Amino acid sequence: MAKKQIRDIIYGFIELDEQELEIINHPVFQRLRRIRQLAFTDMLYPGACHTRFEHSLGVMQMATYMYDHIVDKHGKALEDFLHINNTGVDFALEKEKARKIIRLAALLHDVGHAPFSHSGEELMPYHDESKNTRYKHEDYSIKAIEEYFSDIIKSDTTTNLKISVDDVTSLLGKKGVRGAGGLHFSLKEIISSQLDADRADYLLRDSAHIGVDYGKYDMWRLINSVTLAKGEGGTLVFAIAYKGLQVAESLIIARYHMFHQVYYHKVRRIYDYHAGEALKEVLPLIGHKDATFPPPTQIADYMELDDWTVLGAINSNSDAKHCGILQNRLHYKLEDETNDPPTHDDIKRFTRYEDNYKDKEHHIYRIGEIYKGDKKASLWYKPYGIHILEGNGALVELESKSALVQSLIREPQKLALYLPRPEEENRGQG
Amino acid sequence: MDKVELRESMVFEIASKMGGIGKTGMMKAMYFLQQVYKVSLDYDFNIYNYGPFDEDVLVAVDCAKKKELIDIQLKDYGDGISGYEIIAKEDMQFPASAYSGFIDEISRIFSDYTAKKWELASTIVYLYVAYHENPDWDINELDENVMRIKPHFTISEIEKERKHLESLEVLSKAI
Repeated sequence: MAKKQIRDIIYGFIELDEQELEIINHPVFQRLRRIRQLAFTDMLYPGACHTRFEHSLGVMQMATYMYDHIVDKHGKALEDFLHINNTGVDFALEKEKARKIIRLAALLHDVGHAPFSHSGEELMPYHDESKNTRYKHEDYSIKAIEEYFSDIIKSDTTTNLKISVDDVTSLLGKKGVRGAGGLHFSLKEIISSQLDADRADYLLRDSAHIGVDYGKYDMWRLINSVTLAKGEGGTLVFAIAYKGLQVAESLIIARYHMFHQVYYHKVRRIYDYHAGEALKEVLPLIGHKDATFPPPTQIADYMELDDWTVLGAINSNSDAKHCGILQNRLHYKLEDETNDPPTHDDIKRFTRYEDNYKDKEHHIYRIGEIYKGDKKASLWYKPYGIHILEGNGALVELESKSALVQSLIREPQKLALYLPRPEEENRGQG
Repeated sequence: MDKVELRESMVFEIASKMGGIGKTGMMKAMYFLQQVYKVSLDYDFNIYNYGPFDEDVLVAVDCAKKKELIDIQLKDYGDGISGYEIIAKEDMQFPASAYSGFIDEISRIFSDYTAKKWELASTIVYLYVAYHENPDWDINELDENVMRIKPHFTISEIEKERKHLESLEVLSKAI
């Protein structure tokens, strides 16, 4: 099977086979070249212009490194756990198949991302009106894989691995998937967990592009420290070997710093707001009257949307308030913010702001569930589910072994008031 | 009571009624509360080889601990397996919630379950719901699928647990 190597900023080269090349050459995958990884973070860090396309390739590479290490070191444990000897399954073939499924799931995990990445997710339609639950980009990824990539996944005749689309989507959170199980499913945490290849890649990649060192950690130490251990229920679970405690700590520290310095930086936060508002301004102008993205059932319409189409509409509508703000970098300025956590006086002050500004342009950014704020903030760097395997075989949570991690994992709670710049107010009045 | 408070109060109430429940048990009890007893906890459970899982449950447990509603202690279960025991603080008093009866029922059915059995029962319920969405399936296929996810159980162990859950109407209530 012909292979191709692609240069990569993190791994040097990423190797793809014919099937994977067919996937990345598909127009729906090429769309990821037109979705930037960090939306408008370049307003703060000009280097942050990388895309979901290169991140997707990177996650596939990282997932492969993790898979190869685990299967090399723990193949026997997996073989025993899966009772391979009793089933007549060819374990060599099973390993090859699982490796391929994990590579495909990693490669395709973000194929359903919205324009402006996470900044646009508030405009995904409700999945269930009564529950107030919106579709997530994962729902679009699963639908896109089923709609556009199933033939490519199933047509891998050269290896005869007989991979189904459900094999791939079962690793990406497809609900109610039938037939789930097997070696690849036992290693689902490579694709979806606190230690997954997605997080491991984006910390390194975002740091490299932005030009900060905060997100860097010892990648090879991490890969070589991932292991399998018996969980509470006797099932094999993902863990970090005790020798890798320090790299697990450094991963949490990297996430902590990237959280504060990049993902939740005061300028980045307000551009997430402006991006969402600008989308509301332009979506009705490009065929989406209710200013929301089409649901996954209308995947073809959804796939028409990317950063380019939306930016084109923003460029043509710079008289609209938030379009103009994005075009001219006239974001609202941070007027005031609370301590973390807010004091009693902070709360009183912000309660007054809500009253004083209720008829005026403003934005109050909330971090922390207690304020009905951004739920993701509390999960960015919290190590829920990261296990350390001690020398005696005990499986313990990372925070119980690390005073350093314990000191970092308090949920951030903060309120911040942003107001338009005077010149922007003047522009609006003119 | 908002969603965050509801989740934390459920952690406390489950820990109160099922003294020493492990984290696996807490995860699966929350799954049963939502899926079988239709309590609107808004969790988004996904299936792993250790059964339905949503890390937001661990967030609620963590928050309950920080508010000193519960205590968490490491426990050695033997055979190289360790885990965490969740204990409600005795001096905390909460009024019984509207869902108290459901928690009593979960406690009655599952209180003597090990983490391994919690995982099996919740995996059976998860797949039962999934299979039920499609009319074209049979019960043997379901058992075999459970075994593919949890191969450390025999097919007869899976069938026995499935029938047990059927007899208690846990499966029919879940759909």
